[in-house]
Amino acid sequence: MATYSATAEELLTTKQESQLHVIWRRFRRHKMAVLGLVIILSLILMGAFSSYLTPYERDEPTADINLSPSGLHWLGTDELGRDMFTRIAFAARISLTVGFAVTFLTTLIGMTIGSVSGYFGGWVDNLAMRLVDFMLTIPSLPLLLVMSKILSSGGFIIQFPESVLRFFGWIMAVSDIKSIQQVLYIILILALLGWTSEARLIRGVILSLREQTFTEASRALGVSHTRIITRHMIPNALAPLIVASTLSVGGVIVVEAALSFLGFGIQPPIPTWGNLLQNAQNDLWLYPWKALYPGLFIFLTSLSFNFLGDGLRDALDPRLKI
Amino acid sequence: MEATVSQAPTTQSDSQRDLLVVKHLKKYFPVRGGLLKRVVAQVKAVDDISFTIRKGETFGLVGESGCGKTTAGRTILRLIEPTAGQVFFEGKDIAKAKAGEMKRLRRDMQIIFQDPYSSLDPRMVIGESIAEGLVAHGIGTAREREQTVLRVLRDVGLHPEHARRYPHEFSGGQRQRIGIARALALRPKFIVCDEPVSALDVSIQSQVLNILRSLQRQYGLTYMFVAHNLSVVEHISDRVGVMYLGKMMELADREEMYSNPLHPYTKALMSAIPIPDPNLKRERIILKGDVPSPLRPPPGCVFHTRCPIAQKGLCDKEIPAFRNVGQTREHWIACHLVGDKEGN
Repeated sequence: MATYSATAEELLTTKQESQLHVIWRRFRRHKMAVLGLVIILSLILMGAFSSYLTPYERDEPTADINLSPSGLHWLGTDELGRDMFTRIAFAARISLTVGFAVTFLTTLIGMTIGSVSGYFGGWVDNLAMRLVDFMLTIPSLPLLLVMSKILSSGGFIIQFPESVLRFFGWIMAVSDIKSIQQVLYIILILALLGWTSEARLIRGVILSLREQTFTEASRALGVSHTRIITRHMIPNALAPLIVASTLSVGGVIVVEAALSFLGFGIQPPIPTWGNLLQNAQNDLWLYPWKALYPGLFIFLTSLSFNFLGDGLRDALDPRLKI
Repeated sequence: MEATVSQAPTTQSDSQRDLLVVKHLKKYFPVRGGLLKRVVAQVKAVDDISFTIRKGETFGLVGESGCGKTTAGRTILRLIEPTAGQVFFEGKDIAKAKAGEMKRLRRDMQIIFQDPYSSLDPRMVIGESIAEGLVAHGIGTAREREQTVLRVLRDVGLHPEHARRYPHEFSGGQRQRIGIARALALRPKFIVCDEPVSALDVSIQSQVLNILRSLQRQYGLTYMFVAHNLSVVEHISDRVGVMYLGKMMELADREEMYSNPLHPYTKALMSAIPIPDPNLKRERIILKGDVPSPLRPPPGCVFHTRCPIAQKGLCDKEIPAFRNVGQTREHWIACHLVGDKEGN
């Protein structure tokens, strides 16, 4: 009896560590997800070491304009003779930062509003969902344009804390305060417009979850609403949330690209995959690689995140046998 | 139109003897319709029921599906807010308790659910599910909580190592035992068992019933056992109440109820219990028609539309009082026509 309960205790105390281990083991079996993770990690590394990867300066014009890909310039050069690979690698820093930051914020806002709305129902739900409806009736692109114009023209200034500015400047390897601020504006605008779909998604899942008996069981035990939401509702809504979030990273990069394309996003010479793509359209037929490679990177990122999301969803679901 | 219930089905509310006193409990669910979502009707799920549950006993509540017995159980625990009425638990009115008080009361009153599948969070290992109440009430250290979890797991016949597993790794019967363990962890005094065995295999049913019984002795529990299976209720209950369409029809000791049912509805129910002997024949009372909609319960006695002995002009006009007709033992019925002559 004594040894029996001793092993049981041991089992209980080692729980936390082994659970993460289990998730990792399950995740590893998902080949495409692992591939996605590897690609994302390489893109991050590529961004992080962008200044060491090539001998070229990011914004330095040279005489070698519009070269096709070669051993010297892996992905060719643009119309100012700047090395495309250098610019794309740097752009990874900015595009991924925008993608992650916006997704983080939209997920946070969407999860909070959606779970509170779905769990409590009634007038809270009504209010939140009418707000969502309202947000969705606004044509987002014109609003994005107007907002970014207002913010970037200096007509309305948000004072970001010094540390935030420095942090983002460091991640994106941008030193110009105005440019950092502009990126932060874009992040905020995209986040404020993007949370609605996540909120709706979470609300829908939680509407069905709260009718399940285990919610009632928790209430009968005297568990608080906050704890029910954080320990039961959100973990059970995690699968669709993760998928939506990972999909969103790719989507955000594309929207940022669209904004830059229209000239309202992050401005050259700071490269993002979006404005590189825009830049390429003037002579698309002559020098297609200038559009091909940034596009390829957007595509690759988006795809990798989708695979990653799939794998995570399966790994996090204890019911699924993989 | 108020039912004339003069008193709760004990002559006096005896705080030494009674754990739970329910008085004129009502739960109406509003039905909303139309453009403005106005309340157009009310479903009278529980319509003025009164009874008491004594310390240490098992009170069986039977009735066919939709009669309001589950709603009654949940309203008593205030998982659903009652429309009207009072529920006294150890003298305190639960229906009026404030949030903080209600939380304290929840330690003493627990529930076991019918569906062993949806009653456990699929994302939580069962040890955590069982410890949840302890965490919510801040009982004990993490280590003490672990000990409690292991103890209740053992009490319901599961192994300590099961604590780390997820609900999907268990069978229905095992899950039901986990549900029991979760309710037990807080060391409650009173447990509402909401059809705890009706979703289980017959072979597992007796297992779970026996566990419930031995736990009752071990922990000194009081049960309210909600079920539609009359044999199960007979097996486990000390006293039995019969509900029909949101109303209590009859309430008596188990022996009294099963040997001498008075209400025509109870009689019909009793005649439907299968006898495991093909040679034995019994006269079945087949009720005509269906249960009327609780949206528009019949006037007078709610049972008169199907009652074999209903009298025109009386049963369809006046609501029968819920009265005690027993002489030596309590025997409560709500019927105009029986009781007085036959009361023993």
